[in-house]
Amino acid sequence: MSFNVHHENFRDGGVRLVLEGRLDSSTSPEFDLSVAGLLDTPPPMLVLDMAGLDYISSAGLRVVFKLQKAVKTVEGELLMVNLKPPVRKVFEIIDALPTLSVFNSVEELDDYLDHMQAQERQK
Amino acid sequence: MATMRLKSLSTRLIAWVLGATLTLSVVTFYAGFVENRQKLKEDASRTAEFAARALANDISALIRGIEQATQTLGSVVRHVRPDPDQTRALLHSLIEADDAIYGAAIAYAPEAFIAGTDFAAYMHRTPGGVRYLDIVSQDPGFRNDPWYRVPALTGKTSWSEPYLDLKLGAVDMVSFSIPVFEDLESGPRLLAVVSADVALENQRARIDAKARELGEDIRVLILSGGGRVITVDALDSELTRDTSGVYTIPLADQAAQRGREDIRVLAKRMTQGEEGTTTLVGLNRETRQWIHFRPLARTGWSVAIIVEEAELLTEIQESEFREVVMFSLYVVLMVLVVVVLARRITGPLRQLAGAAREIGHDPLAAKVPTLHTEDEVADLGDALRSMQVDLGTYLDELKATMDAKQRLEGELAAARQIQMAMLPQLPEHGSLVDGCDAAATLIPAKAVGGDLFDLIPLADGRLMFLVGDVSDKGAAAALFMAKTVTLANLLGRERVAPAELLARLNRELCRDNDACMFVTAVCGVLDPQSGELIYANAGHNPPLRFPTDGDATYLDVLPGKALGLYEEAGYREARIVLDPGETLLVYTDGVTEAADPDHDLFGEERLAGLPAELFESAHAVVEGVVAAVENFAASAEQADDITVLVLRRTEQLPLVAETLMRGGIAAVANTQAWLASKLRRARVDEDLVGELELIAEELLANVVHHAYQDRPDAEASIRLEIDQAHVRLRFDDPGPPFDPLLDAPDPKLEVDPMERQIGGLGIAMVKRLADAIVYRREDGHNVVEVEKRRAPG
Repeated sequence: MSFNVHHENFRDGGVRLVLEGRLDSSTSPEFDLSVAGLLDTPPPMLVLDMAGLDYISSAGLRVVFKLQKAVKTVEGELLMVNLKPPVRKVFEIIDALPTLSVFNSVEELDDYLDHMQAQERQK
Repeated sequence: MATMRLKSLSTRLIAWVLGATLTLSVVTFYAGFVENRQKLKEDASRTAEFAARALANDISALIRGIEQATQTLGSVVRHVRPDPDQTRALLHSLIEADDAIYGAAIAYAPEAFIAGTDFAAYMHRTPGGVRYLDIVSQDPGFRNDPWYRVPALTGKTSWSEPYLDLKLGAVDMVSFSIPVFEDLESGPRLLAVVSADVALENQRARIDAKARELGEDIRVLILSGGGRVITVDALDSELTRDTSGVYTIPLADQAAQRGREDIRVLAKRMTQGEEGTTTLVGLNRETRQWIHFRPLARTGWSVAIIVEEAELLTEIQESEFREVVMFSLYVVLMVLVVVVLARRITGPLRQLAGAAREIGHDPLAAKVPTLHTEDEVADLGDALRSMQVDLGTYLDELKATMDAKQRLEGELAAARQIQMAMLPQLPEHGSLVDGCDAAATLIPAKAVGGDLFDLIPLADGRLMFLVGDVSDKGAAAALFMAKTVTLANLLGRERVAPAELLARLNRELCRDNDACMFVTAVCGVLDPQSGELIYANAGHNPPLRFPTDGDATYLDVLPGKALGLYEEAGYREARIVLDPGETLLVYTDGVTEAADPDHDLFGEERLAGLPAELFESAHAVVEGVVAAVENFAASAEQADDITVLVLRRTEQLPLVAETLMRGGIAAVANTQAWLASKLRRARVDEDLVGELELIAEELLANVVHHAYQDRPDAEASIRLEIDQAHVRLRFDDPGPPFDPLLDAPDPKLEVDPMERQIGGLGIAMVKRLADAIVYRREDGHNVVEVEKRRAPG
């Protein structure tokens, strides 16, 4: 089983990565390479859509954390959506969930972002 | 359809007919034109010739008259005694004799009149009567004048050139002179010269009048023997008259002086006595004229008749104009006829074309026009009508055929459904018998075919299976298949052994099998507990076994005849033992003989090459085989039923398996796949499979990264043990001592993961996931043992 990722523009200036397959020690280097650009110039908003991701190991987590760290440097936000149970469990094991913004569905993510935007405008 | 299309039949018909007609007409017209011109020219030339002849005759008559009168006078002079009074009377009589004679002379030779005297007399007309002159006193040198000198010297009659005798007649004239001889003993001696003068002025008017009688525009030119102009009417006076007003210079010389070569040649030819026709411009007008010339008898003169070409051409042009008008009328008439004809032909054709189109839309409603002619177009109409009728009939038949076909297809589909319903329906979850995972499918080809399979769980916990393939296709094969399935099902439930089952099935099928249909089949019984498989074969493809490790092999089959052909045929059984987890694949030739678009066959080798042992369940193997065949066949149509039946002995617990990992990170993924496959076969919960995969990956990645520093010679052996309650994993690598539990930095989970040292993340996860984990160094190896409890149930 292999791994696939493709990049999409998301809202204003944001990027959405759609992940598919398995993110393990043999496929993570590929993922790492494909996000090199994002690590250099991080977008203010990065969404990881994991609806197609079946498996993740520490090798994959490392790339996710690198992305999170990069986004933080521009005061941006890393958002994860559509985690399958085995993947969600991995994040739970390492207690990473509280520090991450995780959404169960795209709708939930959209609601959140709409709400945030509304607040921005009020300020 | 009123507009005329460029390529329509009528347009082409008109174009061709007109083209041909016009060409023909132009050629005819031109030929006529040329001939006409030629004829008219000949006519004109003949006219001129006639005129010339008539005029010549007239002049000849005049000349003859003058000559005869003069000759007569001459003979009188010869016989009378010379006497002045007598001479005067004679001259008078000559002038009286011919009104063309202007004057006359009798000039005696010297000494011939009266010895010692010289006598010559001349008489000519004047408005008041005749005038008598004594030549000797008036013109003493007269004997040098040509009128006297030429006959006197030559002794012959002579017509003089035109001349103006100022001393005697004072008009321009020509003279005819004859010598008169007296016969002496010594021989003839010149007695006198008798001469008659013709005043040209008078004769010109006469000749011109004569010419007018021949034609309005006809002119006459007469040249003397010396080439001098006698008549002037036809000529430009500038060209002919010399300064003295007399035509004393020959016309040819005058023309040469003025550079008129054409006139010079004409004059020359006339002077030489030729007869002929020529044309030239500027004789007396700046127009082209036709000239016919001929010589006059005796005098050496030449007469030319001159006709204006325009005169001739007017006639020709009038004739040509008439022809052009006729020709144009002819073309217009032709166009009308062709257009009408074309319409009459294409009109019905257009109607028929319209009808043909209508027939295309609705053959029965279309109206084919009836044509009341008996030509080819009417034939076409008849053909169209008959086609309409035939088409109607054909469509009816086609509809009937289609209906029948549809009905048949419906019936076939129903038959197909019934046929499929005869096959055993397998439970979606759970298994037919304990300890064996079984699955099967039959993918029918388009036509009703004859594949069959059966799976019968026996009361003693064993599982009987049968896969067969009826020869041929179609309804008969389907019925034969139904019979076979029904019989096999009955026999199978009687717990008959495979060989016996085939033998009895064979006997039943042989009964009343006049069509000689037959079935190839494999029948077997598997005991899932012991793994013992007993099977017998009736001419069918050998089944294929996939061990959990190693290559697939085809089972040895003992020869046995296909069912339904030989009543006494017997079958022998073979016996093998399937290991736990081992897979058995039974199939029909629809699998191995599936063809791709290039007609290559799927084949037994490709089938044995499938990694069936890696598929998680019997159902997955069935789907995998079908997918591989369909992939191979691609767009090629399925020609035969495809039947795939798979049995897999369930793994026995406790299950122990081992594998060796060799190489870098890629090898880790392979080991994970091996582990997942083993776990799933043992029906370990899917969540647990994922967690164990994660544990294995983290620990093995640790070995590769840390114990071997990412070198490609990393190796580790993995031992898996599954029992009802636990899954245990043992990782053993000969690398340098490395205790992941201690040496890997322990991530402080309570701090923000972002702040943690990322390296220890994997081991931290393993520690959290494992129910128990220990490390020890044993015989120079690193050994890590992990235990995970299976969820109850």
